[in-house]
Amino acid sequence: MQRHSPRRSKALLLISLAIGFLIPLAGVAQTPALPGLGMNQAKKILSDLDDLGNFPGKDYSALFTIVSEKPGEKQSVTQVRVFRRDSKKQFTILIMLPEVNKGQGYLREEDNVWFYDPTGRKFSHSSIKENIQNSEAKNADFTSSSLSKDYDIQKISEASIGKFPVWVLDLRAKNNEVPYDRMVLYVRKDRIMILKQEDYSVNGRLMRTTLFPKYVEVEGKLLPSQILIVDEINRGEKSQITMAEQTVEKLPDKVFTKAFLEQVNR
Amino acid sequence: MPVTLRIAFRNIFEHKSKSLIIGILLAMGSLILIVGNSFIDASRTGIEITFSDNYTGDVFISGISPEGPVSLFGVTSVGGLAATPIIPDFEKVLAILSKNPQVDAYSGMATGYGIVTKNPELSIDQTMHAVGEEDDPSESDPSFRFFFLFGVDPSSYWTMFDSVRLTSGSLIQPGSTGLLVNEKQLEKISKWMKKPLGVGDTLVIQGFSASGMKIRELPILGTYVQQGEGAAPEQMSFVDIDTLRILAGMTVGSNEDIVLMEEQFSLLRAADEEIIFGEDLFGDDIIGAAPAKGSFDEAKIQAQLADTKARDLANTADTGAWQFLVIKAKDPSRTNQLIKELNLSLKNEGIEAVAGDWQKAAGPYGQSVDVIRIVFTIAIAILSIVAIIIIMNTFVISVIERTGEIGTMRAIGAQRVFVRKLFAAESVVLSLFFAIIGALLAIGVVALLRSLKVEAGNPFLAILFGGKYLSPYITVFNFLGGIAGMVAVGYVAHLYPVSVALRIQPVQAMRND
Repeated sequence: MQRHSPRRSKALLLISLAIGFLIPLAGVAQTPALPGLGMNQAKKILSDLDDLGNFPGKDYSALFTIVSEKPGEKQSVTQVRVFRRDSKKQFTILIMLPEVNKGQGYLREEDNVWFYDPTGRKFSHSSIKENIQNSEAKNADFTSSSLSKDYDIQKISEASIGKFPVWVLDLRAKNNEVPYDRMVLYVRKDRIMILKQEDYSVNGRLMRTTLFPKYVEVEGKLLPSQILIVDEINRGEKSQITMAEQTVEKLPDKVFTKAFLEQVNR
Repeated sequence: MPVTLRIAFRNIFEHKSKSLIIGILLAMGSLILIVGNSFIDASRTGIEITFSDNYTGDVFISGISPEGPVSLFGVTSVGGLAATPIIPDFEKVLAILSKNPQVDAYSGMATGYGIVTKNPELSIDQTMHAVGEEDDPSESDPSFRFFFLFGVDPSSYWTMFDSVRLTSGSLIQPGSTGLLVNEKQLEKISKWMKKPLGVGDTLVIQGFSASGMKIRELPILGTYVQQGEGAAPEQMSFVDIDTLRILAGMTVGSNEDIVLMEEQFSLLRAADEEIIFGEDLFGDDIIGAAPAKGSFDEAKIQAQLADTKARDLANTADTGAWQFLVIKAKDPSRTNQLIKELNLSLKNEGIEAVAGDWQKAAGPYGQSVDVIRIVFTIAIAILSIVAIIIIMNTFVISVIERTGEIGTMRAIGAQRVFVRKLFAAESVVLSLFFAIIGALLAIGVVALLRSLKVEAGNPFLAILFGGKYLSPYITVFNFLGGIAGMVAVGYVAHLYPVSVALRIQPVQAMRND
């Protein structure tokens, strides 16, 4: 156990990253290990990852704990409950920690986002387009991306991470709708699960490294339960996201309403 | 009149066309220099008066941030997320001010940012419908929704500054809660909300700071127009200090500790990925047990959010917290001395705060004056180099034409120094004459520009103009400086041609003639 001080810098960005971007990537196919990987098989892995990250007809909810580190500063902690319904492009986020922001909520439906502050008992409204214009968040951080649709495989190689032999898939963006021009995925050979992801800018600079060292199995699908995001531009800045209470059970419709944010704060 | 001067005058009149070309260049140079400087002076003075008279006083004290310089607009930092520091040991700082005889008055302040939100009471469907039919052209420039909030101490602020003229309602009084909004901004918000707004109505403001976002519904206490013709943005609104503190995250409990489980931060401790994916951290399998099945439990979430004691405390305004102190000096001409004294006192007391002038307080606005000056200086430097080259070239032609004359003078005993003096006199006389003409023209141009009352159509021009109207003025220093600068250009330009002339042997020169 350790004591930490909360600070909310970049917390929302990390939440959006985690719910909109990482989970769809982290699906897992129960494919046997391949002796060598051809282009077609690599493409199959990508489309499997896309398919398995979606939960058709189901919802997703979890409790995220985000601990961020910055050199010379105390660790900051944010804990949020996340509710997702991709079929209607809806999500609800409830802030549980830090205390100063407890009960605050975000509700998204299509391009609209509402923010609720229980201390003022009021909502504010904005559109995703507005937010993206003024932040470092990218389109794909808020919408599910599709690896096979957005990326071409440039190169396939082999390596190992820790004790795991991995396929290294070097991907290049097909369009400019994705946040990073180049992405390198390290996919475990025996169970085809992503262990590591590197994101590169257009000029080839490594921007961000993400590790997926821990998964849980929910209704036959593997979901990451711990993620480490390392900012490669600002040395020493990194965040750990821990997902608990993950479920893909159907949620009541009212979870995605303004009334829900008000009710849970009563 | 010395002989060199007489010959110089004679030469100028004998070579009228060349003299005129050089003269026009020099006159243009002094005209541009003087008019340009009159713009910069007007801009600097305009912004200085606007800020020092209306917002910052003569001296400005703030806390120190490791992220960058602190101004009324917050910390100028990369990414712009740094929290504005609170002045530490505020009571001690007040004691320093009360002891200094040069301090006339002072007031505590804090600033923050907010955005007004529309239709907070509508349901999702209603809001989406409203958004769908949005065709308001003002949406293309949503800057009117933005608030630069001044949290002021009403007991001292209004007596120190008369920056605002009330058009309705009242000023913020001690103990009152609400907003004093710029009348023009409120008009734009009314148009956007499609309903008339005035004193007594409320605005829902979402404040944002490094510690998160807060929403407050605030009554409009009054509307104002800005006194004078300053260059301050119309998004400036005044708000009671406690509301500002909440919106800006200046709360008593914002340093609470959170207890975490080891597994929630263990990855941050791991030295590298080999350890993370090795056997030690998670054992043989990285796939953990499935979480227990359970249906959605609203009551459980409600219970987790039910205890709001810590939140209430964390959202209580820290009544002792101030970001800035604005100070009026008894003798504004001695401001720099006062700043030195205050900084020395702060240092001696070991207080992490710093005093500065209006330019420090104005932050990006103050820096814009420097940027304009630097750009102008670079432009003038480039122009001067071009002018020197053209003048030099013309002088060289003139010297070559006069090779025989120079040779004759040298042959009958004129020393090199005499020839040098002759050309120096010629260039200085020419430069001085035309630089003065240019300077006089500059006076005319500036007078014309002032009489035209050109209005600044946008915020950038308002900074450039130093106010609502273009009102450049010429100081004695700039007038004389412009003339001296062009004389220097003329003098420098003649050096090379003279050295060419002096290389010619007298015998050869006379033969060529």
